[in-house]
Amino acid sequence: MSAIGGKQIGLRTATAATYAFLYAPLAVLVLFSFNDTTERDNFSPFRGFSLYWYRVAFDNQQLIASMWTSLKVACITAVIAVGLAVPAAVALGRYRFAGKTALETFFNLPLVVPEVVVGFGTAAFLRFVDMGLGFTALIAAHVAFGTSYAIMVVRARLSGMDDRLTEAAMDLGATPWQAFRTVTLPLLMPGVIAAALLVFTVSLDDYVISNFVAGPDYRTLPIEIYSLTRKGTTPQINAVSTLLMAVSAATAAGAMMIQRAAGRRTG
Amino acid sequence: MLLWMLLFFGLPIALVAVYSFCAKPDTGGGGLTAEKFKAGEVEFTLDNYRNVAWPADADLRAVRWKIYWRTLWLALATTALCLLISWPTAYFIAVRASAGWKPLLLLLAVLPFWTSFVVRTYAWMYLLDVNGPVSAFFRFLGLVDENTAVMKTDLGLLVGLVYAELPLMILPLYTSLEKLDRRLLEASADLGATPTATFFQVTFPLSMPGVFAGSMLVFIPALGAFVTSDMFTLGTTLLVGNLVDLQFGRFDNPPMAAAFSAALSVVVAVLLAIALRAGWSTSGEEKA
Repeated sequence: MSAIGGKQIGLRTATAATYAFLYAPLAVLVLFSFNDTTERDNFSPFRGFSLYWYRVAFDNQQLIASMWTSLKVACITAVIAVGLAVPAAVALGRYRFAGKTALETFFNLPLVVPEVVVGFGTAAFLRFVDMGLGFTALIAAHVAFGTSYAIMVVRARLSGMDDRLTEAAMDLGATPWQAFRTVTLPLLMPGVIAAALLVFTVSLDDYVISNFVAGPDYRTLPIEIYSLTRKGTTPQINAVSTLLMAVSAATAAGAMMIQRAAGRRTG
Repeated sequence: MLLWMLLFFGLPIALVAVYSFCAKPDTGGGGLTAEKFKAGEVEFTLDNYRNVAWPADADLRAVRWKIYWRTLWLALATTALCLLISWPTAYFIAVRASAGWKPLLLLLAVLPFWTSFVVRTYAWMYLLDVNGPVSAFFRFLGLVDENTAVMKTDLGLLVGLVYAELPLMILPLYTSLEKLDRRLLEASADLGATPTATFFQVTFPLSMPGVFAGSMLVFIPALGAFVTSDMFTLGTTLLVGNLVDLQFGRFDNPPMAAAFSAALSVVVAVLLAIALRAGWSTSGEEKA
């Protein structure tokens, strides 16, 4: 293996460099959110740790409002998306039927079409049917693409599951619905929770589609952050971004760990 | 499930296609509604597409094609760079890392993807701004003058795009490389191939599915990107995505926005088809 082993050092350096590249800007962003300075200019040198800018952020009413909007939309979206995804995933994973591939492709489309097009199309569509932008619109649009993610996650979990357990349940006299409820669903649970967390994260973080669909009365957190950046970088934005990052990272990491732990337990 | 998706995804897309063939209505502020269609006030025309491809005004034509070209090369460059940067890392995690480290490394590599695009792009705004470290460095090298922010250059856009899309590339590459049969690499070495030859003839080709998947995941959003150019250049540098946004938001011209969107989607679809075709033939060779 020594012929291949010679690449070892170069490979490690390249990998380390990649991680550094990935995290350095974020680290800088987080660091400067704690900058002990009252100057709004983000380039004043780092002077020590302070929560001042976090206090400024929390005093910002518009910011707080957008935080709540984002959280509410994300929670509702996660619930609905997962609710829609589980039957769809089970149907796709378990049964064969005409048009299955087409359906699969269709469900994956939101991930492949550029967000600009989806956002603009949805907004135009809402105007077309006179439905209006705003909170409901946000949820509708978020569910549309969130479900695609959810289906992916649940299907992954489903394919790792042993079908014979469900068959055994039915052999023992359970109806398909009972088998689903008492055998499949509990085993799917880790996947379902992971899917919910991921949809939550994606919804929380979304900017493009939300921007088109939210309308003048509602702003989500990414929209609010974006509008703040129009005036230049300030530590307040750093503070908000750090918070958003922390939440997203926590939920995403949680989802991934649930998936891994579940993967290990089921043979 | 199907109903929801059809309603809030399928129909909007179909609508975009239809709009691209509509003339902008004179009444009601440009908004197209079902009533207008029913009232027969909507004309169908190919003018929008003509405006996209060949506007009558020569200056506008030049500007537009510059935007198209910029969008294309930025998307291609972003994809290439993401591939270049991610491949070694994905390879390391999949093949070289010890089992204990793998999950953690993977988690760390993918985590940035689950943060908001806006935040990831913003992270570079500080570094690339006029007073930021990167611009200062470039000034030191004599590449830019005092008032230029690297942020506002095409290079700055490239950096922003690469950074935002990078996590998307790592996971598919990793998945593909993880399935690699190490014995093939050993066999190649046993047969006398140098590490370089092994790489080019065995390792990299076998990772092709991951390469294609990752490239698609990066290229498509990159082609439709507009947030990065909006945030970095505040609208002075435009990409095709910006054109869609402007036509719909500021100029209230859904048909033009639709035409741009359709053109964008067509380009995506064409390139996707080419990539899939190439993917088929490569994997065909491997199985042979």
